[in-house]
Parts: sequence; structure tokens; C-alpha cells
Amino acid sequence: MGKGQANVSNTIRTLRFHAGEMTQAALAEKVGVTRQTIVAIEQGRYSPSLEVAFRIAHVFGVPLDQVFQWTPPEPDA
Amino acid sequence: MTSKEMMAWVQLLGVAVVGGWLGWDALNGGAVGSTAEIAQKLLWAVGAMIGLNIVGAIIGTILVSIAQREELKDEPADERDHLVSAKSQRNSAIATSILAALALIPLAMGAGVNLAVYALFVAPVVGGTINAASELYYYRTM
Repeated sequence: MGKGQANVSNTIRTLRFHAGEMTQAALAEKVGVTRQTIVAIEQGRYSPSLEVAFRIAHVFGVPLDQVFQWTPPEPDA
Repeated sequence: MTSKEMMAWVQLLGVAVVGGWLGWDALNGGAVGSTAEIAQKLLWAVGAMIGLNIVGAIIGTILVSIAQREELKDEPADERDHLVSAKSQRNSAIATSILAALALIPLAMGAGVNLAVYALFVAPVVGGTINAASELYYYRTM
């Protein structure tokens, strides 16, 4: 949980599209957060808690790593 | 705009109005007087801010609802709201503590007790203002 790190990406927008163009409000209601939080997660500004991440994956019926991807930071030269 | 952001704007507006009034009053000689007189004035200022917050919340809800063509509801807070609140309160507490500590310096150097009365008012008001401003900042950046 915390401020969104640049190296965490997600495919929520794509998953919503494949779920019959599910709205952000509908996803928020199913997950149990506000629509603004879904917007922030989708835009990569906010990294959700592990529980909310699992809930989002559960809504789409996919594994967690299909929703969120983490790229290791570049090692300092 | 969410209900929480709207309330933060209302709080900032209330501080601006009351701060403007107190500033105008101070420039016109209102900062001098007995301790009781100044304390009474600041009590009125506290009441004015509470009143402005209540009236502002009602008017703000109506105006934002009209602008967004959707009823503005106060949704239950989620984990992001709690995080924004915690970070904002941390900033607020730091500012309030620093201001209160700084107010002790002139008092220790013999400044009048009226300064302590103003510090009692200003420190928490500035803390509240920083809390509201922080909320608006964090809601836009995280």
C-alpha cells in the first residue's frame, strides 16, 4: 500500500474491456473501494494493498500476476 | 470532485475568509486590547469557521452536484482515503507542533500574553489548513 511506484504496472483497463466494458464504478463496488481509488490504481498512481489486489484479480477471475506486473528497478551503475 | 475533496476546499475557503477578516481587523487596530477582548474575538472567529464549514458543505454539495450532474455522496472511506488522511494529519501535526514551539520563543523573551492567545488560535488553524491542503495534494498525486 502506498504511493504508486513507477515499476508497478497493471492491466485493469484491458481486463475491464474484456469483461464487457465493465465500468470503474462497477469494479469499485465489487472490490469494495471507491471509484477514485480504482482510477488511481488503473493510472498507476496508487499501489493497492495485497488484499485489494487479490480482490481485483478475483473479480476478473484471473491470477494476481495477470493483473499486476512488477519490473525490478535498474541497478545503480 | 469527491465529497472529501469538496470539504477540504470548504475548509480552506473558511480559513481564508476568517483569516482575511482577522487580518483586516488587526490592520485596523484590532490586535490590541485586553486578553479577554482578544480571546472573545477569536472565539467568534472559531464560531464563524464552524458556521462557514456547515453552510459551505451544504452549498458546495448542491453546486458540485449540479456541475457534475450527479448527486455528490460521501462514500465510506477505503484504504486510500485512510492513507491520505494519515499523511495529511502527519503534516498537520508537524506544522502545529512547530508553530506552538515557535510561539514560546517571543513569550520567553517577555512578549505579552496576548501573543499566547493568538498562538492558541493560529497554530491549530494553520494545522487544519495544512491538513486540508495536504488532502487535496495527495488525492491528486496518489
